[in-house]
Parts: sequence; C-alpha cells; structure tokens
Amino acid sequence: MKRFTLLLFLFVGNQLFSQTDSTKKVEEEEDYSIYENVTSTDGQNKTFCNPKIFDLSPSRFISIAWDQQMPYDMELSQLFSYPKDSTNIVPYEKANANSTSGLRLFANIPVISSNKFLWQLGLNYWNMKYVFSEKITPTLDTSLIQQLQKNGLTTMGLHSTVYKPLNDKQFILMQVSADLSGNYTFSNIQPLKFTRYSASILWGKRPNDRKQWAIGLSRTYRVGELNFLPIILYNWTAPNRKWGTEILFPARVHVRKNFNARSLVMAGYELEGQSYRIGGIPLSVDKELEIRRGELRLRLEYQRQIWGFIWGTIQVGYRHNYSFNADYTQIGGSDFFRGFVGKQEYAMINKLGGAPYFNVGIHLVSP
Amino acid sequence: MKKILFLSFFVIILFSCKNQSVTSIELNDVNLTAEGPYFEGPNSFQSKILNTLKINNINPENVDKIVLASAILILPDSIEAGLIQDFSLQLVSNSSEMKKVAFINPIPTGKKEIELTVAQEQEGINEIFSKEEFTTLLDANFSKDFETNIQFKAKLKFNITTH
Amino acid sequence: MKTTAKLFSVLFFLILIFSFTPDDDGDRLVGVWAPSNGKARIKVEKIGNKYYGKIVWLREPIDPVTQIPKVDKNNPDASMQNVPLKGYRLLKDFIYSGKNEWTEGTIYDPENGSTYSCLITMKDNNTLDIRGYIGLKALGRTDVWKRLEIKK
Repeated sequence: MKRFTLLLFLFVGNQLFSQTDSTKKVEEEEDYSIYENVTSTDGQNKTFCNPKIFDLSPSRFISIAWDQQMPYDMELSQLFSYPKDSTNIVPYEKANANSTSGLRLFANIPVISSNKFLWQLGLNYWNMKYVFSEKITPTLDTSLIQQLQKNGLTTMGLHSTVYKPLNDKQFILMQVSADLSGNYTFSNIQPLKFTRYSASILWGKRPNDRKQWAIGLSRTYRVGELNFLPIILYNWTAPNRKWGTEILFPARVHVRKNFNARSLVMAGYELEGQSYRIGGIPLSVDKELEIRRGELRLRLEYQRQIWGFIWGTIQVGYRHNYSFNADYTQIGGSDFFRGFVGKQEYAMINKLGGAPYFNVGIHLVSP
Repeated sequence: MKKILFLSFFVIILFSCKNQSVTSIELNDVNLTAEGPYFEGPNSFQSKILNTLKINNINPENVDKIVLASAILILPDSIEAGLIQDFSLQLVSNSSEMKKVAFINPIPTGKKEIELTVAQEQEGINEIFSKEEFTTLLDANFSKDFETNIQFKAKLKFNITTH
Repeated sequence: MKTTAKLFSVLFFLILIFSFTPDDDGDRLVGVWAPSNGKARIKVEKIGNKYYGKIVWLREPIDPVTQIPKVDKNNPDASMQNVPLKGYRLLKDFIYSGKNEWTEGTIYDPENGSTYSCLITMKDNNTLDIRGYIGLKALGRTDVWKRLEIKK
C-alpha cells in the first residue's frame, strides 16, 4: 500500500509541476531581431487591400441628421402646357418657400465584413417639408405647390454595397439601390411599382496606404432623372497626413483637412437628386407626374468625435437648383431615359432659387 | 430669501467637499525583475504588489478614485548609457483591464533616477487596486542584447480619493 | 478494507490530477502572428491568467514625416502620444472561454487611436479570426491572422 501510494504521488506530482509559466519562458527567449526572419506555418500569407486609406473621413453605421434650407422663390409652369423653351416660361404658380427642411436617417450595416470580402446592407429615409410664406395661387386641386406643402417629398430606400479585394492592390466595388420617392406619407405609401433603381460598378487600385482610385459606370438618378454616367473614385492623403481628397466624380468632390485623428473639415460639392412621383393631382388615366429634383450643394463640413464612436457633423453651404422639372411617366410605373441627349419634352419646367442651407448630424462611425 | 438660498448652497458644497479626502500611498520598494539574457527590443519586467489598500487601512468601498501621481525608476549601475531606449509602465490584475499609466521616450542620459511621464487619463485604476494582488509591468526597450540579470527599483506614488 | 482504501486513494488522486490539468487549450494562442495587411507581427503572451499581444516587428518602423521610430501619435490621451509602437500591446486582457474563443479583450488601432471590443476565434492551429467591433459584433470587421514560425 505504501509503495502504491508513493507511486501515485510521483505520478500526480509530475502532473502538478508540469504547468508552464509562459510569461517567464517568453522573457528568457525574447529576441526581437529574430522576428525579421519568419515564415508562415501553412505556406500562405496572402494579403488583400483594405477598403480604406489613411485618414479618410469615418464611414458611418448609423446617421441622424437635420437638413434646413433658407428661404427661396419657386416658380412652376402650368400642367399639361408642355413648354418648349425654358427661357420664356410664364410662371403659373409662384410662391416663396420660407422653409424647406427635414430629417435624414441612414443605416449601413455590415453583413459580411472580413479582409477578403465586405458586404453591407443599408436603408435610408429622407424627408423634405415645405412651408410657403405667402398665400399660394392658384388654389386649385392641380396646384403642385399645394401638394408639396401638404406632405412634402419623401425618399425611402434600400442599398447593398459589395467590396471585393482581388489581391493586395486591386479591388472591385459594386452598389445597387432601390428608392421609393414621392409625396407620400407612412400611412399612405405609394405603390412599389414606382421604385427607382440605381447601380454602379467600379474597378480600382490601391497602390499604397495613402491612395486609392477606381473607374466605373453607373446607372443613377443623382441629378433627378435616369442617367448612365462614368464615375471616377480618387481618395488620397498627403504624406504629412494633414490633407487629402475624397472624390467620387461626378457625384461628389471634396478636399479634406485633417486636424487630428478625431476632427477634420471637408470642402467641396455634392450632387443630390431623386425622381419623385406626385400623387393627389388629377391627371389623365394613363399618366403619372414625376418631379426630377436635382441639386448642386456647395459645402463646408466640420466632422468631430463627440465621444467614443459617436461623431457629430455641421455642414453649411449653398444649394443651387439643377432641376425641378416634371415629366409624365407611364401609369405602370416604368421610367424612360432622356439623359443629356434625349428630345422628350418636360411636362413642367420649374425654377427654384438658390438658397443657403445647413445640416447637423450625429453618427455612429467606424473609423 | 436669496441669502438663505445662497447659504444653503454654500453649506451643501462644503459638506459634499468635506466628505472627500485625498491620501497618498508611496510604494518605494517596487522591485521589477526578469531573468536574462535580454535581447534587442522590448523586454518585460514584473513585480507583484499585495494588499496595498488593506495595509494602509483603506476600505476599497470608500475609494472614489486612484491615480498614479508619480513614477520614478532607479537604474542599476550595471546599465550603460543608451542601453535602454524607452520604458512604459502598466498595471494589471487578473480580473481587470491592463492600464498603461506611465512611460518615457527617450530616456534622458546621465541620470540614475528617471521620472516617467504619467498618463493624464487614468480610468479604472480603482478596480486594479481593489484586488488583493496586482502586477506592475515594466516594458524596457533594449537597444542591444544584454547578458547580465537586471532588477529595476521603482518608487510609485498614488493619490487615493476617498469619501 | 485494503481494497476499498486503495480504490479510494486512486479516486482521490484522479480527481487531483484532473483538477490540476494544465490549461493547454488557451495557451495555443501564444505565439507570433501576422495580420493580413503584412504591416506588423504580433507576439501573443500570457500574463497572469490573461493573454496579451504586442507588436514585435513593423514593416515600416520609421515614421516618414518625423524620421524617428513610429510612436502612438493618435492616442486620445495627449500625454501618451510619444509611446513607441514597437513593443506596444495592441491586444489586451483576453481570457480563454472555451470552444476556440478568447473573449473579454480589446484591440487598439494605432492608426486612429480607437480601441475596439474584440473576439478571437481560432479556425485552426495556424489561423485566427480577429473580430474588432463596436458594441454589437455585427458592427465590426474580421481580419484573418496567420501564425508565424521563426526560421532556424
């Protein structure tokens, strides 16, 4: 029994003292120069290019912003008039838009996010409420201004973005989106057949941590009506890490000044636009009315970390109206392509004065 | 009425301030050790510290805030000038996050006692101290290999705010 | 009686053995690893009962603007912006929670001074998924790290 117990002790004792303190072992074997000469254990060490470069403005997971335009004049031509010449329009409706403002919500959530593949799904909600300062004339059911004052203009959309690095230098970027835009409300959403689709695809290169560029094509409603445009991406950061550019031409072009890792300012422009189906105006049975809203926003934007991953932005600028014309589209919901060369006439030719604006927002970001 | 309100406000402030006091604890014999040889690059030296609050009759539940006020390292004679390029000092315990509390880069030459730069933001030190045992970890960046065993002595001063 | 005593002793010592069996599973994380961008090599070590990873090699160790070894210039604490990156502990406070996962830790990105919650999953003995995230695991990004061996 004694011998047996002794054997057991020896066996257990061996187990007890076989715990190793990896800390002590690490300190004895430290030799940092040897980390110059290493090899991967499974022979593969493939690298893929990062979707970002140094010092870009942080990408946003969730955004809440308020957009406010200062007063401007609005002149609309008569429905069914088919004006041929935009320079000699006699305005049928006139009003002063005392306030054009609304909430902008945006979410962009990664579904798959790894060094080899990035897929994000998102949704957006933009609303613009119009408040007109004067009595609107005429006060007819066919008044577009009355319809705008009643419900404003709303866009709700879904989008999907895929970033696929091909190797450590090249990548492909794709995006598709579906937007439902019009003068509807939550309680009276317009039929989904009026959804407008956009898409873009780019191929690009990321030669180093401070530069990435890409070229591609897009199907877009960015200036209000359907267009097919080439696009150029050019993100760059200066060697001193204080300046840079963030360009997705022609949609937006910005120069960036980085104060530090937690604040920056951007100056440039962005084109905004959507095609809004207008309900509530009696038209003939085979026609729908769509406003092709396109704007050029010149702007200065200050971005700053508030706390942790919460950032705030203040944007001030000038909104120049590119288009507020309207088309008749098919009752079935399908759109047509005019582009820059088409000869189709507008159902309405409308003018909006320019206006200063500001936008304040709060965002959950991923730096 | 105004006078009464002002007086009440003053008394409240006085009592809320009066309840807090700041105590300094000095740990003058912290011996940070690691077995050599040491190689070029960062090498880690450790020291376990036991029951600090208990020894100084401080109830952890009364502690509002603990900050490292100063950290002085005494270099052993065996170290030649320029051997170590920088130091950083961390505190860690088994059940709280590691906190970097001080560093110096570069090390001033010709001095035997080196005062480290203390971090301005020192959240979470309370939690480390509230455990019976915590570890001070000194990372020393060696400019070249060094054979002889070294031990660093540190003098650490903590300010403890209690209520 | 003798047999019973023997059996009891065996049982007792077996319990002792299993309760003191070394935690090898968590220690598989210890070693040198390379993130997918190839810009650094990280050495994971165990301090106390937790795992930490520090930078032991940088592909570009010198800051091209200042021409001195890179420091933590984006640290939100201004007093810590001169801490060298070589030797910097990026991974902190991980504990092994079983099923090839190390949790409760954080990862620091010196490029922007941000600290993210982090989950480490070992896909195989030579591959790690390092997922840094903000709040929810869905709001994050996974990077694949490969184990390195030092050439003899």
